[in-house]
Amino acid sequence: MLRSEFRGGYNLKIGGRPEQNLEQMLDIPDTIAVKAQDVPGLKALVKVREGDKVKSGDVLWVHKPDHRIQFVSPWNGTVQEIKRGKRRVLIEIILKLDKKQDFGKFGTINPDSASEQDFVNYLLKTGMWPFFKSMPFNVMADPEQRPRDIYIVTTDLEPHCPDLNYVLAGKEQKLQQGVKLLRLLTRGNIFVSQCKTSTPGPNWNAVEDVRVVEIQPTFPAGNPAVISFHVAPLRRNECAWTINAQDLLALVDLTESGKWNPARIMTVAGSLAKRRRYIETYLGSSVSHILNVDVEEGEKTYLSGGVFGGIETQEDGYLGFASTSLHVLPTGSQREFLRFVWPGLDKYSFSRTFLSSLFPQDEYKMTTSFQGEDRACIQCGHCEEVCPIDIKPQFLFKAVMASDYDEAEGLGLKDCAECGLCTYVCPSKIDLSGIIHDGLEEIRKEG
Amino acid sequence: MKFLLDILEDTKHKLFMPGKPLEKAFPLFDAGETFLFSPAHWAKKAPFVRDAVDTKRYMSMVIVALIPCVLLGIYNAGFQAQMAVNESVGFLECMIKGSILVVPIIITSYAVGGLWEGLFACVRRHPINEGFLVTGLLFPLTLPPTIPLWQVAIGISFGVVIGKEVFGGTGMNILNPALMARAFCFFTYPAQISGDKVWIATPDYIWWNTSSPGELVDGFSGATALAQAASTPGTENIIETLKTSHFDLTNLFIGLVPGSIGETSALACLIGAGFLVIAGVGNFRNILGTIIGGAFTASLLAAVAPDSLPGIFHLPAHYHLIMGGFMFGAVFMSTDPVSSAATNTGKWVYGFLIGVVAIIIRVVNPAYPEGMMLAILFMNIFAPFIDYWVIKAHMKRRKAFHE
Repeated sequence: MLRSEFRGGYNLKIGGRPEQNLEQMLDIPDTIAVKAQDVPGLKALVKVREGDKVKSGDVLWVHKPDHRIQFVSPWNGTVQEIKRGKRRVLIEIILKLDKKQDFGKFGTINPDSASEQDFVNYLLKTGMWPFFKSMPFNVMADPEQRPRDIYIVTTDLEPHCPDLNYVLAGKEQKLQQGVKLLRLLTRGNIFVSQCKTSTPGPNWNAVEDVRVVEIQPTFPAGNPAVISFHVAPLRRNECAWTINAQDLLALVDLTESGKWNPARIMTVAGSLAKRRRYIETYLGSSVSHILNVDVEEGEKTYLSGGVFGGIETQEDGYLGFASTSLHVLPTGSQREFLRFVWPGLDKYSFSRTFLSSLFPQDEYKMTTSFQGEDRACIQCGHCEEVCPIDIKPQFLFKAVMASDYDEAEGLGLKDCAECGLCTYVCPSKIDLSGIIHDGLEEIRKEG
Repeated sequence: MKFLLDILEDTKHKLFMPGKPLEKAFPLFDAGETFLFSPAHWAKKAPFVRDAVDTKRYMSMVIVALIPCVLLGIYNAGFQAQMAVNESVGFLECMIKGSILVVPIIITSYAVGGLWEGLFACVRRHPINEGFLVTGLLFPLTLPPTIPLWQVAIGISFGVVIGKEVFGGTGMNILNPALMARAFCFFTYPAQISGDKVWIATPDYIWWNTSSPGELVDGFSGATALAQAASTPGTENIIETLKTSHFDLTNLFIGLVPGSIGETSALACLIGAGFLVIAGVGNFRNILGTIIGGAFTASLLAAVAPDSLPGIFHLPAHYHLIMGGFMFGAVFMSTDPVSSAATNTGKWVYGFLIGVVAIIIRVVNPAYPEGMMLAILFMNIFAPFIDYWVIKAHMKRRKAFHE
């Protein structure tokens, strides 16, 4: 068995953990959104208009640089709203759903007899393609490319995101079917990760043709970019694809039954969510549908996804395209008197500058506050200590800011797992991961 | 606290916002306001939570770590002054006399430095950086207790303006501003910061003292241990010679010897070092590197030097480490993250070379009994160069990794 061990990483002791009792919320909701905002690298060309009737399988928008990449509606309903942001970038399409849903006739495919091209076409036609992401850059996969390796994301250590051990346990057969499908796309390795958490996971011995990587229980060890870096680094011009295990299971359902499966197991978390739990509901569900006003008092920030990788949504907003977590955090608008003077038993810090490092609590109530002001980099080196892939972020972000991309690539720009830990720990509150992300976008566009 | 916050908000909108009479002084107001109340900034994109530490807290830790040095420095300044005129050396008397000597220096440093810091913040429209809180305290601790206050004012002005602000403020400077300030005083007004007379506040040497001179105890010298060692012939047993001048290990370690205000006590520095390392603010690599470099060089010189060379060549390494400003520099100056090498490997090299250069200046150069300040400034300049090679090696490893 392969092992991915590294220095760095950090497990956040943030309060608001969800309980592992699953509630099924599979009634058809009134509205649902298909979000474009959190699909990395997307340029959407919308194919529907407000008020249009859509049927399961109809194209909502296509990817402008490659029209074969389609985003389809799994639902029957009416286009209620097409939301756009700055410069008319598509944010989401909100569908008003019919009471009758059949999840379409997408056709089936058999991994034992299908060819590679059949499968690629099938993925493109059914709108499952955008669930594959490509490394480096962590963007939608290119239908012209083939990956060296494929990583099935089977561990997500981001705080309070679904524990995939819990989700996947006992689903070995379906996973095996998924691996067979992925085998059509690559001759390389199909990696899965295994992490010993308190919840028993799937028995990978029962799944053939995968390489299991044992990972340490430290965020972001489950991130495929981290695993790849430590186990099978990519060479120049090579790429690897990743797919979340839940999306893979949905793909298996689709290929077997011909019906799109938009249901996922998700978490409701964050200190201001009253009923923190696991739920089974649909992608793109509305925040109000999931929470049903079960929230604590106070100013709230709603997140689709985790605290490190999620995006902000609103009280009346929706979950992301493939997002499986809803967080409700207190907005950090409180001003504290002489904040930096107190001993800080309740201040949670990586840095050991508060008394909490001597008397740690199990978890801390965290808000979205920056907890400080913007300053110049003082080279404290905390970012380097948490970086899971041996980057020196304090040098990398400066190279990117100076547009010195040769230097930045040499420092490991393309290896960046975009975990966000460097930004999290920075005492000068510099958005290192944001700057590094912009640098990645820049070199991706330049090719 | 709500009412105070309301007053602040009110004042801000009435006086300091764009278009209002005091808009140019907004950075000053902002510094005061954010000192009292943490700002209400929050994350709008991932990551949505942030670590509790900020630069204010980070720099405050250094101030806390300096407290033992400040207290012992005050006590020792008083103690030395009382001893010199054969007066009572009770704890209270020493503290009072020491405070009269030291506190004005610290206040001058903060006041004048703060003025420059505020002026630059207003003109260049950047917030006031917390780094100054550290600089403003480090600088006085490197000065003799008899320094004229106008020199303190000029020194800190140079340190803040030329040492830091012209580069763009805290984080952008290449040299340690506190040491820049000291170096300025050292080279411009050497009479008040070097020699044998300035380290103890004798009646001749204090501006506020009205009593007549000539009341010194018999055998008073006023020289620092390093000066004493440098002037001892190599044929004598250096340790014995030092002992007769009260420079035995205990005194040197605790710091009841003449010297700059904050630097004499290795004990206080080590307490500070422990705090800095535990808090993670001072990097142990800098401190250990410096100590190892110093000990290595001192031992090497002591082992090879013939008897014809002065006594300081034969000084054992552990004496070097606790004499003069070595510990203070190792703990509080070499750990300044901005002017230090930024890579972990680089920090070892940087620290080690500080130790080496400091001891070489002390021992080999007869002009300067102390070498710590110059060694650190010298290595400040080399720090980016060290990083350059470390980064280059790192990039080479990364490249090989992907092939």
